[in-house]
Amino acid sequence: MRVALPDEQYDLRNGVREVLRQHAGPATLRRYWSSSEEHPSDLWKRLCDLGLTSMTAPALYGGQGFGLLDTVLLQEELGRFAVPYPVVETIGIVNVLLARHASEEVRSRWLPGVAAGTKMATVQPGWDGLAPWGAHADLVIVIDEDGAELCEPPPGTSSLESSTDPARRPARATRAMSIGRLEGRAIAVEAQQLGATVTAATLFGLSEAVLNQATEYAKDRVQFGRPIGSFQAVKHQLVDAYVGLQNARRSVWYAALCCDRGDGATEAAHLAKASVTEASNKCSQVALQVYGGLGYTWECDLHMWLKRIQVLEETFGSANDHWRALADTYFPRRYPPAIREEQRSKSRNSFEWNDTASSHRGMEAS
Amino acid sequence: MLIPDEAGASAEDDRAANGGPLMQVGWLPEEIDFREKVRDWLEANLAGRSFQTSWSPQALLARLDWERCLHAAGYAGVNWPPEYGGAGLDPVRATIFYEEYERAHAPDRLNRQGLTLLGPTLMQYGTPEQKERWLPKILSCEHIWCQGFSEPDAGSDLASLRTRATADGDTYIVNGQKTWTSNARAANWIFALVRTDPDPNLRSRGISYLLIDLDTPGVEVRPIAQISGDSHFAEVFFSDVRVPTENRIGAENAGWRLAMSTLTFERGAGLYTGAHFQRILDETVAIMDWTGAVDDDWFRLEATRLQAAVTRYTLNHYALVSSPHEEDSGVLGPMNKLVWSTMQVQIYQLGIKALGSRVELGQEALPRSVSPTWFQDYWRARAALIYAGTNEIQRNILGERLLGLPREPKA
Repeated sequence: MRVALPDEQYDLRNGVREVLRQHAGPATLRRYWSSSEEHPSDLWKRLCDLGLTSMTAPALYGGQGFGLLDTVLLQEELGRFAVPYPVVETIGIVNVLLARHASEEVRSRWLPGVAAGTKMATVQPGWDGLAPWGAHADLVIVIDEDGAELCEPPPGTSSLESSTDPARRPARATRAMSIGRLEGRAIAVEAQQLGATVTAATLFGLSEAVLNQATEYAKDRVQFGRPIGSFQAVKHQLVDAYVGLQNARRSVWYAALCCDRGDGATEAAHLAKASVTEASNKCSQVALQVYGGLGYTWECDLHMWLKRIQVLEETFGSANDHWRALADTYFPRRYPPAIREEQRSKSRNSFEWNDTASSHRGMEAS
Repeated sequence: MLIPDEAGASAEDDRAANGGPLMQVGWLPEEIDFREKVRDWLEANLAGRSFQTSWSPQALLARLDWERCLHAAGYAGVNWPPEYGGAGLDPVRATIFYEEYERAHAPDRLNRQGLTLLGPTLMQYGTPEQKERWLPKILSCEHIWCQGFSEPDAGSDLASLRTRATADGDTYIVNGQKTWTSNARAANWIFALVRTDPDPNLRSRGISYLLIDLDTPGVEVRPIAQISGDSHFAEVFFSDVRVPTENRIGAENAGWRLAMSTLTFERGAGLYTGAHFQRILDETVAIMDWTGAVDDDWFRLEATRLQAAVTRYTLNHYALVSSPHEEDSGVLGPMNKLVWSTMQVQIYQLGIKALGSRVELGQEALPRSVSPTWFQDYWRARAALIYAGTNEIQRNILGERLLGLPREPKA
């Protein structure tokens, strides 16, 4: 079995990386943290000119017909630069859902514009969820338990006033904005799997970026006469975070492949999102720790990445959500809840210290 | 298991939308055939054999006989080049072979040190005569090798080793002591790092790579009793042992580079496929089942995490053997040992936890379906954090080589 992406995808990724390095660096991202940046911006136009929004749209509608696996390195890259726009959502969810499940009328109404970037589309996980750039988007696809609702936010819709990650301009679409629906539990599940997979890819890129930032800092920052990265306590933390992240990378590729094939995506998407989320969290912890006091300042770029990571860790399922679901597959519960409770009460042993006769003041059993 | 053996890869899978080759999941028809062939051969040839994990002469003889069987069928060195007697299989097919080998519960390779450490080192650094002389006998097990690197005062700091080889014409006279010598109890030859320059301050620049016959007068092998209850390792003492200088591989005092290559082979993908760790995890789950821990949500989640770890390991192993990209092999190779040793000990630790207070009963507490030496296996898993380069050393190396972090200044 081969696990290797084609050279062409690396070449494409490297080309996009160069463009993003020049036009989507930290200084650009910082502009999105204030409210100064208007849509559509130069960056949005550039991303669309690169063809990113059209990659996974069908050729019939002006797209390039690629799959999730074909574009996974690009998804990682969009994460690496913490690109604020819902490009990954367009690549991984909008184009795919519309192409696979929408009527011809809906497809021809939306896909050409979304692919070209003349229309911005985004995704909201659940009616309680938030859509990145939802107030500015022409189309918000809300994924609920039984399908996906197509919503058109009216002019004057506002983004959240305060948010963990203001660069994403999160907003909430409501049922009142609905213009159509893709009905079916299977569609909802598929959408969640796509979401989990591309969010995992984004998290990988974000995490690699924060580790790179922290590693470079550890090479430059000198204390006690030498770079702090030469101390094992610092070195080993960075290594453990790096290894954990690299270890999870290919599970995302595999999930992308399964999403493309429509086979095995359930297990693969759970595994990918859970694995990368945990690895990401560790990268976030280590990066800030290594950066020391400087990383704690608003002026240091690090926090912009850390907050994006914080949001995406919980988007399309937390690590525990996915571990629990996988546990139900691997180790199905043998007994119904009533019997489990009975078993538990029988095995309640001397380690559950709820005995008031022997309790000391202030010592409460948990 | 996430990636089933029987999943065939269709022709469409092979091309991406842009025409380039796609990550291929599932196996090519010829690979499925090969797996079946290997499985059948193993089943037929393992039948009627039994193996023990002890070092008794009978146990060793049984393993030697099995090696001869493999050799006769051309399976002794599946990923060795044909010119040296190997089957010349590509890495993917070699992986298939070892997956089936693992699943068939075939015994640990008797000449693993020769096969995976000395052999590749000789292929890289030996003269044609040396390759001719030494390589075929590794596969035939005429020479069974052990590894003489560490010393009591030279473990992580291998370059400080003191075993001395003094030149006397065309002979070296070797004096010193090696410890933690893997496979010394089965071996008849040792590949050893010796100091050929008298100046110890030269450290790695005074070291040579020497092949020594353990039957030479002056050699004494003493097993080390381990906390696992077995003794897989030994100390080897050299008292005025005479070794022909032609047994030296590479130039005099230039052995360190060869040693580093050997260590890289030791840390590499080696013979551990995902199937190896799947088996260990299956044992832990069998223990969980046995004690009822499998009904506990905490255990279910922990076991799920470890199953995911095994699946990731399998994916990464395939990437390591099949990808031409530096972002894959250049990263996954160096981190391999750190990852599997950490994962393995966690798998065993979960089994221990599933036993609860029954752990005090030892092997008796376990179901029959797990290894009869499970507790020993647990302690050996702990040892894996130390051997082949401690995990602390691994982290130093990874930090310096992969992340480019500066080295710690020496005292």
